[in-house]
Amino acid sequence: MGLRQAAEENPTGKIKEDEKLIQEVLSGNADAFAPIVDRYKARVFTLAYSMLSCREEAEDVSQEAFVKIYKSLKTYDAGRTKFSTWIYRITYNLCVDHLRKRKKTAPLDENMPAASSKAPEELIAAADRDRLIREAVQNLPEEYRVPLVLFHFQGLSYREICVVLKVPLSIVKNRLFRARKMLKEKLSGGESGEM
Amino acid sequence: MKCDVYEENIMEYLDGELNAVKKTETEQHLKKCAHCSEFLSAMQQQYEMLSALLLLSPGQDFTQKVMSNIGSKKADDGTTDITKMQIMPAIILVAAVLALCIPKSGHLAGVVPAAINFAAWFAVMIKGLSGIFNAVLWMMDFAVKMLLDLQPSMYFLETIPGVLLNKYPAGAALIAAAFLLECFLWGKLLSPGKIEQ
Repeated sequence: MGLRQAAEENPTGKIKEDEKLIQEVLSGNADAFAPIVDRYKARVFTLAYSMLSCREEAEDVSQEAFVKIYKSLKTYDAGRTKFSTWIYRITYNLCVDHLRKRKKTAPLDENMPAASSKAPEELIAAADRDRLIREAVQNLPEEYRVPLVLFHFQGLSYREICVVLKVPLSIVKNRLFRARKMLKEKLSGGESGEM
Repeated sequence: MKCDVYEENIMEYLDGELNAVKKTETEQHLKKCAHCSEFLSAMQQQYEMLSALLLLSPGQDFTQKVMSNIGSKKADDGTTDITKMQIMPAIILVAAVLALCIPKSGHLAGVVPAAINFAAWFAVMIKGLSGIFNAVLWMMDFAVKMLLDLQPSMYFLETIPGVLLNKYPAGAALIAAAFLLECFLWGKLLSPGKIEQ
């Protein structure tokens, strides 16, 4: 599918480059980690933001994620998992921990306002429609939002999403299906309301 | 309802995750079902909208922060920089004093230029050290040699420890041996009779 191919952006060349950089870091050149961070920071941050709905927290957790990625780099097994999938899994787990802590300390945060009020700078210039979609995605319940973000923004396949979320394929399919249905309703409802 | 199944198939179809059999089946169904065709185009629209969205970017200094969090030398915090800033002038000062009271002959004469050489090589090895200190050390090294009127042929010896340091930072024994060898050779060059014509 044309659409799907557009979302998939990890050609073999990039994977090879990743492997080279990983080897360099493992052989003691910590500076080789910087290009890895540069390559994945937007994707990690987008995932964290989609789960936490707060820029500052998303930034903190993304920082934490990269430190963890760096520290556990020697446990990464290229034969078993794609590097990107491994990175998302770490980020996802940290976000889940963070949400758990947040619930414990401030139960009111359950109804935290989503992206709506403060759109990130880079979006100000973008069309209103983009903002609407982003808001609609952000307002989906977490379990539906995360697979959708992983699929569309991070270009993960169904199976890769299974690995990140540690859920069976049937659940991934079902959640994606329901997320899109919800999104469709939200967007069509929003549009007719605007007119 | 029957179409519910197809709706699921349509999404998998768009996701590129539908198997061949189901794909043909779905395509057949789409031809005769207006509801599902409509659903497909609505979904295609949604896909396009979603894929048009850009990834969000974290703050500008994000990578730098990560690098300082992992304790990379390049992104070291101020404290280590201060230590380096204190160490380097100290090394230069000691080297300068040595250069000033350098014995022009005798056994010790070879030690000073060799030591300055090696200080310069170690300076190269200290990652993140600013080039200016390095340059100062090299210039001093050069000045000392000019002062002592030494043969440029000695320079080839510096390449050996240099390569060793760069390739095998752990080979301290080899480096020490190279150092002693250089001391000895400098000493020979500086021994009386060679320096005064």
